[in-house]
Amino acid sequence: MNIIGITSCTCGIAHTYMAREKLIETGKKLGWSVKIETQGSGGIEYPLTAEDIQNADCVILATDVAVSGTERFKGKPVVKVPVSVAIKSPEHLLKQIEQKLNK
Amino acid sequence: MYADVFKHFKQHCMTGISYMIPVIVIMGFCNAIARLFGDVETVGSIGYVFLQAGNAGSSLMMAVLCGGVAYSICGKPGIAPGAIAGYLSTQVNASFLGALVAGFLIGLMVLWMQNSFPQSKALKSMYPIVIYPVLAGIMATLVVMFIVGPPLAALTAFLVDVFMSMSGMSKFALGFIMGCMTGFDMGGPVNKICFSIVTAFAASGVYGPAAGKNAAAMAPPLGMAISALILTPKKYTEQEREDAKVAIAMSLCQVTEGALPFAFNDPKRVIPAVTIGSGIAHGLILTWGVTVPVLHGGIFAIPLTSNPLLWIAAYLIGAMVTAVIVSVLKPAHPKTDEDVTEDQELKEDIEIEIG
Repeated sequence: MNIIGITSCTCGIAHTYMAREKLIETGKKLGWSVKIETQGSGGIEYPLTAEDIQNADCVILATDVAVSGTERFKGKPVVKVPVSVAIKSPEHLLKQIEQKLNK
Repeated sequence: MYADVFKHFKQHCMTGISYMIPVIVIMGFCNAIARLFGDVETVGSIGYVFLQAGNAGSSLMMAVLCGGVAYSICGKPGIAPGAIAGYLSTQVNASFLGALVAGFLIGLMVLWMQNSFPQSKALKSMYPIVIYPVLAGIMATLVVMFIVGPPLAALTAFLVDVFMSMSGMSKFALGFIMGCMTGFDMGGPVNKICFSIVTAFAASGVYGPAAGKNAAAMAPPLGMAISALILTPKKYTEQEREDAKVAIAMSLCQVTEGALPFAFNDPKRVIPAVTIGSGIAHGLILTWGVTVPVLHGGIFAIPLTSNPLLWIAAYLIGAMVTAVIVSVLKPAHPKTDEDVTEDQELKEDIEIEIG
């Protein structure tokens, strides 16, 4: 599975990056490719490329605030969850996505 | 679609608040610099210049909040009318509540115009430059000035009156609740709700809750550091003791998030300890009547407090309470990495939509 996503929390200094790490870590465990862009207080970091988006099977928006650039995901399956879900249940989240996509 | 706006009510508020926070930080630091240099009455002195910057921050923070809320709902066209409506809201003392209402109103109105106005090539370039901002701006102005402004100003004044007439014990209780909210999720959404309440008080010239919030926000990382480095270092992993050193610096700069790594490793023990410590710090500040005219600033705000010694005492007591509680609760040996990161069940079903 190829997963991409954006994380962004209210303050944009801590949870944003923890959510990114959790998702990527879990992706490694499952053998998936997971690429996450962060939109914290410092602006956009680890930006997704057009190629990343092209190849993605699903987009995760783990955000508590409004994020920019969602128009890039036109036509892609998009999952919206609060940041806390990506931090607390990354594995359940990814597996659930796989299940739903395979339906 | 309009129902969606209210479904995501919290997200829109949080976006506005996250845009507003840097303004408050700039304001706090500029006020602190002004105070350090002194001589704020003399036009052209360093103190005067930075005081102006601080004042600019306090008159603009609601403008940024309101613009941010509107932006979150309807995108770019909401920013300009939102900034104006938020500024007006500050001017008529409707402050935080007024700015929030105006932000939602502008967002909804622009969304509505985007959907229901006729699509014509001739008008298309007119819409974003003239029509959306001007109509939304006029509407928001009328609503802020005539409809929501006066009652919200009265409500704010009433709440401030109630607060001012509270006795010592009920002040402690109020402060304890606000402090608990500040500590509970260490910079998360509950913390930000309390932040809004404190901002509303400060906008009305009541600065006790601001002093309390600063202490309550700074106590958790220091408390964790005291526990991990001084009281019971053996109960922590080496990584945590490293985190503790960083947490001290974060505490001094008023970044509550410094306590987060500890909370993630051991939420059941750390969160109650931090919540109670923050609650006590805030409660003491309100009981002692300490005030500070800035909403952020860490130790740099100390010169601005009405009573620096009492403020520092409340900060340290809050941190000590957290440190003692967590040191007592912690098991003798730290958990190893294997059983720390357990993946929790999803509470709600996820929905996949095609973007």
